[in-house]
Amino acid sequence: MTSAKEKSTLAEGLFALPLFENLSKKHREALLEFVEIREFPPGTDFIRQGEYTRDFFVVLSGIVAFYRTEKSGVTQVLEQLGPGKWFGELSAISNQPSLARAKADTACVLAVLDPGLFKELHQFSKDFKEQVDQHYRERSLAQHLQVVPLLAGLSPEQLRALRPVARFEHHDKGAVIAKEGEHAEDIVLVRAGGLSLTRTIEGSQRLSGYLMANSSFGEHAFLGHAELWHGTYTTLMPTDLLVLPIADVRKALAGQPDMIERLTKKATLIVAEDSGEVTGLYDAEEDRASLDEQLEIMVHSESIKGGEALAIDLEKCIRCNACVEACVSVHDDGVPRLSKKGNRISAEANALGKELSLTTSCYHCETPGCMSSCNYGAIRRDSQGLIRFVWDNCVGCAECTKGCPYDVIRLTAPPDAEAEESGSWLENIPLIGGLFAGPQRPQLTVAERGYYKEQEVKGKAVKCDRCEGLPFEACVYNCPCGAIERVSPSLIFDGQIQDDGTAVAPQQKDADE
Amino acid sequence: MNLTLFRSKHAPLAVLLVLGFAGFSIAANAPWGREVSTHRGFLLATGWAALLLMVIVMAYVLRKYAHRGGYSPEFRRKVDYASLEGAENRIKRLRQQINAGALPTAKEIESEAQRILREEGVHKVNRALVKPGPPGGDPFIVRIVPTEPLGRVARWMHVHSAYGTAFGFLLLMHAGTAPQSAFGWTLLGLGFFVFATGILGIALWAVGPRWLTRREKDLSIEEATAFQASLGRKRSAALESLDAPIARRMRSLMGRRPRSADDVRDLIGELTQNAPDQVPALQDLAALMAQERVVASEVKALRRVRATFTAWKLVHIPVAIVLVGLVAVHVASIWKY
Repeated sequence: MTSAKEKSTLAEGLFALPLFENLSKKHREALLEFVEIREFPPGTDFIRQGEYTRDFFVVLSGIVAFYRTEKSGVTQVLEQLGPGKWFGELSAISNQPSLARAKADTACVLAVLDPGLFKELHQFSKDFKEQVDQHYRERSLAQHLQVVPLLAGLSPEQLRALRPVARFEHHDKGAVIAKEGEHAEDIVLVRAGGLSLTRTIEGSQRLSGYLMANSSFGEHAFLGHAELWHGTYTTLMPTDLLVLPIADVRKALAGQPDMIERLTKKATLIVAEDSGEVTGLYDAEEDRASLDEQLEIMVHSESIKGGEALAIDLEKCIRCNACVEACVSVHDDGVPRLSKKGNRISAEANALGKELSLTTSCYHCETPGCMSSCNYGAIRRDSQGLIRFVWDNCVGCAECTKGCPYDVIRLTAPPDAEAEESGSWLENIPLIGGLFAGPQRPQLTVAERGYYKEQEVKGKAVKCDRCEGLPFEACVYNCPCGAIERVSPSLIFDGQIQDDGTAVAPQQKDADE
Repeated sequence: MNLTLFRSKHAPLAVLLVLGFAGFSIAANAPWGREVSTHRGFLLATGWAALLLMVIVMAYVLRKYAHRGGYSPEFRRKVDYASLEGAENRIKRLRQQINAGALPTAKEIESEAQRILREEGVHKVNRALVKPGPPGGDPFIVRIVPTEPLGRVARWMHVHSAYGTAFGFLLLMHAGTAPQSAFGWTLLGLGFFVFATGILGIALWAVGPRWLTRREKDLSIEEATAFQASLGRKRSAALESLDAPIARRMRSLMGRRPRSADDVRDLIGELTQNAPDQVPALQDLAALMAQERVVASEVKALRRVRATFTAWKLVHIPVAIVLVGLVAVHVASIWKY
């Protein structure tokens, strides 16, 4: 715990920064209590490119430099940030892996805000939100726009020209963003959250897909004034969008007819790709490998979204249920975290040539809906990319269960109910059992270290925790047939699972052969 | 076909063991069975070896049920989240050092990672795996994986099936084909019953999953069961939406379990004469019932197939327990007399 003197010095430094100077008293206190100060010696790479981090950093002293390595292998310095500057808002808002490597060029002292605290300030402190969003617009927006297929390949200068026309929007769950048949006038990029896409097929509304963070739609609107939305886009959870009105984009690029022509051509190709034609667009311009395409198919079929999947080899599985029983045996509440129900991948559709079933335990999603839904900082991604529930911060609000598109999160009984069930056998004797009952267990509150410490705990959200703290993953460890295994999606298409259950990377497989 | 049981390294060891005893029997002209006076050594050797194999085979059962009941010693290794998080943070810093080139070899990295895990008190739970990184990426990848101290049950299963099969042959060498007492016949009979059901189990495990997978191509048994329950709930909701008299008639009809969709259609036709506004709801109900019947028959068939896979265990396990008890009596009596 920080001493009073240290707190006073810290407060002096932090609240002198424009970012924090207009915080309310409550938020100032929260910031002082929960901010973490980290020091890095010169030359330290403290965030890797592609690393999952949701922390928000403020430079208190020293210089931090950002290096991005492109697919071609070329590394370039993006920028350098000095005292008073901040970074990490893109990952904190969109749950995306870091776009660049962060390195301490000189000895650095950084203030680190965890996702719960950042989300609280971003949601409820108007001035903080405005500054962060403005900063995002100036610094990260241009880079983020590259994920829109239509805009990928534009130079940084051209992307910067689009910055003023971008509009930030926040929508609650259930909002209709675009309605099928109405005029399409915007290109929309999903910053955080997710949407469903439904289309009218043979007279009825059918779900056609999901768009999670970094997905975009509306590129076809660039083709002309009479373009209509091809489906209805509805938010599945609180969602942040970046909207580029086509008319404004055209206006911003008015002096560059070549660019307009190029974008129109590209929009034509995107529309053709969307309708199932093979145009070579992605192969030629984005060097998208066939593996990525296969992964994309899996994503669209909701089989997997990233991270690691729990795959069952159906040609080994004897359906004995030992995996689920093992899962129950390692959790005190008796609630299994594993459901064998899942998407099947036929032997023809994967490189292993095996009938596989991807169970719905937890996909450790690339864009976790649960994380976006949690207002208590109880869900975070660790440095290995796994989604973890921070037990102390969970208040049992069940919002994450609504945010998870795969229904893998369950709520356990409230702690009091558990206590009643787990009393001694004497307490369970009818009529006189009460005589043996111990002192009544108090209603749990969230531990001191959590931000929302006043909130009463109603229960706990649980999902696959990979048997945290134990020397095994119970389902994998206890399968008598070796049929169940953690597999990276790339291995399903390009690797091999050995008979002893371990996965072989493609390079190793080649070497073995 | 799942051939992993046959490919296990324990399978050739078990075969060698059996061949060794068989070879000795031929070379020394030692007959199989009760020849105490002339070949006491062979009799004792096969007996003790068979007993040892039986203990090894039983270890699988012990390990499986100890784990399921939570008595396995591994559970005592559990560490708290704070220690895991502490280790994770330090490993993260280690990765930064690796990228900065501070630790150039995999061996150094692994030893450093193990040191961190040890200092954080999680070395009994996790271990570090170090592999060279992809070209153009990090020089080394450090993965933290569970230690799995007792090995996976699948491996114990290989041991169980390989040495269980060997046990059957050694039992034959030990007892011969014509035991001289009722007790001997009982032991031999039970032994071969367990052996035969075990072989049947191995065969079913090898071919069964593929058979079942083909059978349940569209719906797995878990999905089919969940689907059936969901259809049941939808049917109840559809019944609730009907007018009370019609709902009552539908319930009574469903209570009589109509055998074909035609029966339901006829009844709906009759009911809709009197209540045309109920037609859409009744049609939905009919569709649900028809679908429910299809899924129910699917579930029934899948359960039958699965029961076929597991039925052998219903005799294998109890008979094996009786055999173990009688073997204990046999060993004790031999020891004493």
